[in-house]
Amino acid sequence: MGVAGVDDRVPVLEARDVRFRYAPNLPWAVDGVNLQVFPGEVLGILGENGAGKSTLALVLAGIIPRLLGGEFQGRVMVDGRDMQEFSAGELAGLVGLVLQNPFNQMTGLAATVFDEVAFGPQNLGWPRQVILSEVEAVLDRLGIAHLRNRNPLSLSGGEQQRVAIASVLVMKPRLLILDEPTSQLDPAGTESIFALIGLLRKQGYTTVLIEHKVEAVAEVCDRVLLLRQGRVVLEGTPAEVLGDARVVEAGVRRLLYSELADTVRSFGYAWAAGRMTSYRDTVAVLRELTERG
Amino acid sequence: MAEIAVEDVWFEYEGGVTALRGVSLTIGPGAVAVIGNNGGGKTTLMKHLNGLLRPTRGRVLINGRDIATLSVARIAREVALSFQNPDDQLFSPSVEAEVSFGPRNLGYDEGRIRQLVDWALALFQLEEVRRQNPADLSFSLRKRVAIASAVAMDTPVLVLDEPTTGQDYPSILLLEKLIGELKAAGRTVVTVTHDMEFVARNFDRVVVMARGVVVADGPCRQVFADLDTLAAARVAPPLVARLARDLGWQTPVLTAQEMAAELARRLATSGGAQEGGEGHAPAASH
Repeated sequence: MGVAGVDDRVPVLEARDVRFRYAPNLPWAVDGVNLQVFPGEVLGILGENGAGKSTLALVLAGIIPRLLGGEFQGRVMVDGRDMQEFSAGELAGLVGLVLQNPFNQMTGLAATVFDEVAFGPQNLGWPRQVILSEVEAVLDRLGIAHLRNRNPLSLSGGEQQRVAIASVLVMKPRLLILDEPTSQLDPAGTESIFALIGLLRKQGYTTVLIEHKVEAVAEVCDRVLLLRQGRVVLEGTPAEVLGDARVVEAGVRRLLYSELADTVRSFGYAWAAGRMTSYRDTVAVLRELTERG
Repeated sequence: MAEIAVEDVWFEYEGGVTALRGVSLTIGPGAVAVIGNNGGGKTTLMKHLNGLLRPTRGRVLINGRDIATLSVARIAREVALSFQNPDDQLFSPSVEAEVSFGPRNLGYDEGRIRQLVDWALALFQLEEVRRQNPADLSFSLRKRVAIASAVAMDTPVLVLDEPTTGQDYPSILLLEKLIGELKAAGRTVVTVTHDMEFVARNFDRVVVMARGVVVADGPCRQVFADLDTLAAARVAPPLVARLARDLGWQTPVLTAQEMAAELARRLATSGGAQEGGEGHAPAASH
């Protein structure tokens, strides 16, 4: 951080006064959003259905305005360069977008997980040896090398979503955008994707995560934005934003740890309440307080 | 009022996958949650409740009558089912037409159809999109339309297969309102869901399925206290229940409110209150 809280790191991705609506007679789906995503950070975006999260994801991925019609204003910059300056081919390697339903992301053409992940690089005409080593490397890093020869369509939802993420990461994007990656998965699949996001964070990937599950967001995100009617209404650490009682008005459940912190605070332990920002810290604080006597 | 009895039901899909391996259970009025990891047989069982699938072995009875002897139309008067994937269900050109289809098919008169459709659309806040094509709506709205279509059939039994999938918090609160109303009216609501907080807040009874059998069936509190069985079925209990366990609390808690109340009780009796307070905050921390 620089002087007076101004962040002096160069953002990987930056949106400046971005507005978008699907047609001139419709309200702005994204209405004046400014945001920055810094290297190695996991940024969470929350908001109720219809708040503009998925539209914003399409903007940040460069699909809007390039491939989707509508009215677009503002600028999106990647590494300080306006996204519009990049070719479609360059863009594919710049920002990787993973959709809600992994099934929709599958090519449907590949007989094996390996071929599925190799599909993008093949389309870009990478040399064969490079494809082989890069696909192996990404399968390894995501812990799905053992699925290499499986038919993608025979996998569980969680495994399919991992393959979808691998297919995007193999292109070595500067930034990964995950749009509700667990919303259609069962608990085991959900758990495996959050574990993967935690792993990617450790490996230094820059990620934007759109997600409804607030406790999971609190575990894996460095910073979160709350979107309401296309605008950013709250921004801060997960505990600051998701602990704020105003999230409920914006259609987001408040963090369980913050509800419990209220109780702790009402007994005069404000210092302890402030530490209750994750599962582990909440357990530690509550142990300390309730096992005193 | 209706009662469904599932008696030793086995089901094998074409191709040899045995999805149900001897399921028995009786479902009366009230709200029953069916939980368990994918592949456990939950959806297959739900499709038996309205006759969409017929058992390979065993039988399903509605009010004492074997559904093998009933037509699909007859069963539809008793049991409405909302699918896991709304796109398997929706086909009409407008939301209103979609939601009207079920009650019209059941032969209700126009006045009752209009009343039920208006009620279901209002309940799920779909009035604004009633003339739109469901195909043009987002996944979460399509899902709501699919649920409203089943709800509008006004049957004694409503089966919801993963209604919480892809839904935000306000939509889940709408579902909770629906379940509350149906419970109060003495209806039967059978719901498959992965959202354990939603289960803890709304369901009297929880059935856990794994590998095609029922591995636990009982009051919500009792099932969520049986951590070994849940772990074997690869089901995580609600977050507050896990938190209480990790704190070593013997008192089972199911909701954030219960947890806060229990915490307050423990803080009041831990003796920390008088010695603690803000004055004891480590000076450096804030």
